[in-house]
Amino acid sequence: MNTKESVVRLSQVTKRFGQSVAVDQLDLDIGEGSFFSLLGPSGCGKTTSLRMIAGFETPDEGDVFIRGQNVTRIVPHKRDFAMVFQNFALFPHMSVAENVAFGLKMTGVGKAEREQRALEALAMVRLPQFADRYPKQLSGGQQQRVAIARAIVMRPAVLLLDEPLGALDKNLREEMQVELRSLQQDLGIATVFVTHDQEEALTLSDTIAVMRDGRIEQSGSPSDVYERPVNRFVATFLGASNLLRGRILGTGKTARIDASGIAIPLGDATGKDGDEVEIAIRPERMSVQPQGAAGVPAVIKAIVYKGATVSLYCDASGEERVVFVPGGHPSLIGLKTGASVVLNFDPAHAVPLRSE
Amino acid sequence: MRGLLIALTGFSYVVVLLPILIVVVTAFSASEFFAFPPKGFSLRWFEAFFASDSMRGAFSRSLQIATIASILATVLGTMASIAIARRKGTLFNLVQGMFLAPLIFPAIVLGLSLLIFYKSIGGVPDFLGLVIAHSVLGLPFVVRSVTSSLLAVDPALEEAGQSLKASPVDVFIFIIAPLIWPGMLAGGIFAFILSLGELNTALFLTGPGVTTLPIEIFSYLQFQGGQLVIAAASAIQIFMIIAIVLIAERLIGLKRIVRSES
Repeated sequence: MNTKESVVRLSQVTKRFGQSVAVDQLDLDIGEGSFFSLLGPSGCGKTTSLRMIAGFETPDEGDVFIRGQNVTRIVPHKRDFAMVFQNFALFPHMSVAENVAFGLKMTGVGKAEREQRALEALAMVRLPQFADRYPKQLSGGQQQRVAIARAIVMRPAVLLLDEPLGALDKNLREEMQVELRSLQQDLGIATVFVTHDQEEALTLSDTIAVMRDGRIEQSGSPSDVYERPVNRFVATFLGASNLLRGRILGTGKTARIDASGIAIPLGDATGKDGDEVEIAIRPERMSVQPQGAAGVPAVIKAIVYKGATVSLYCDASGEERVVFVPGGHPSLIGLKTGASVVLNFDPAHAVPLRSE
Repeated sequence: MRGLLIALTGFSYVVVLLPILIVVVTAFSASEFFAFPPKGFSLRWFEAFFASDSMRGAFSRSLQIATIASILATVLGTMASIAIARRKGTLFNLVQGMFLAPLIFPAIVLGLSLLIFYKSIGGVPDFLGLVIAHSVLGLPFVVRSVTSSLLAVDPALEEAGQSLKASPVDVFIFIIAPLIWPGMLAGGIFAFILSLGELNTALFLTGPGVTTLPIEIFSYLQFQGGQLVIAAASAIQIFMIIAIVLIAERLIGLKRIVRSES
């Protein structure tokens, strides 16, 4: 089998807890140096998948490979990974330096070398001056950095991150996203990141896998998954979407949108003449035009000012439509709640969805 | 209200501590017979205590049994706690119940049961028999205090240890033990003190030449005079327990021993 490129591979992995299936015949392939995110709502099986890579859970079916070695039945401490836990899980009775050096101590690295490497790792997360402190004396963000240092000092084949930014407040979270990404790229370390935060996944990942009910709904680069969602779940979970109804025309290569009559290319979605199809358009891909222009007539229900963007909530003959307009955009001039407008979009940005 | 509370507290202290205090004070008496307040001060009864082969032997045997039994109880109790603390379900509730059972059953029943059991398997040396009995009695205290210490340890720490290449034994030595040792020590000290003063099972399990101090005191009271040797023996036990508690207090704080909580 060809596992040369892949650092972590899951093959047809299933995990059940009692009656419920947490992970359902999952296939994953994470390449060298790639930042791979498992994104999904709670209970979708993303954390269970991560824990099976670590060995904290054993699959009921299927196999887990790390660097080509089948580790399905191998205990966690003999697998080549390091992990950053949700609540950091720093050892409270050890100093920061001892925490970071702990893994090296367990693998038999000599005292001088492990102190040296622990300090280097702490320097990488910009905390060398905190080596002698204890975890309790650090802020959340600092503890986070220690947890990352403790993992990367091991130079593992794969770095597992279990919602590591969830415990931080918003500003710190964004700062850590940037740091985490540049650190990961500098080290070129394959990383599996579990999160329910779509923005985090978009910012950090090379590949996003959107999970639901133990299966991957779609995986691809952030722009792929965001711009070309395959179904309604992905279109609405990852960012907001306007969902339009349409009908497939003739040869099955195009669909016509009911409300506006615009024909759009069908792409990957398939069907026969007359089948109903759902079409997604991102709010920022829609535009607001004055009454009388071509498009779908709508009434503005609410205008929400968000600084960089302005969200317009509109009613188009009973359907709610959302439009994001850049702040200060000319089309905003004179717009008021209750105004009648026309909504339009470039057919190239309309994405026909597979039925679920 | 506040005055009543103080009065009640004071009364409780008097009821509990005064008799003990009287024994300790009379142990230093110079007179031949019990009298309070004692006449004169001497250490003659302590001398008499250590001069008696049977008393001295029983004292050192009690110390040996208490030491071995409390270590055994601590080791077994800690292992049991680790098994119990992380798991849920009827089976583990049952196991926990079994380990706590010696708290509920009268020790005299345990003594009789063990006597019959030892006989039925062809006899067990008296010393070993006592060690086993006292270990069983000490177990629930260790299980209780260690379990509550363990529950305060974040389970993610164990996984963090494993993720850093620590084997289960390493995880215990380097991560769990340093966090729960106050609970282990508290349980162990309780088991030690319990063994030192234990009479009920010892009544069944001691044999000729192999007695514990409480049994020796008990039979001395029944068959000989010289009550004040007993007072001295009691005083020695009390001093020892106070010393242990003080040392423990320095190490972990008395509250944790008394409450068996972390």
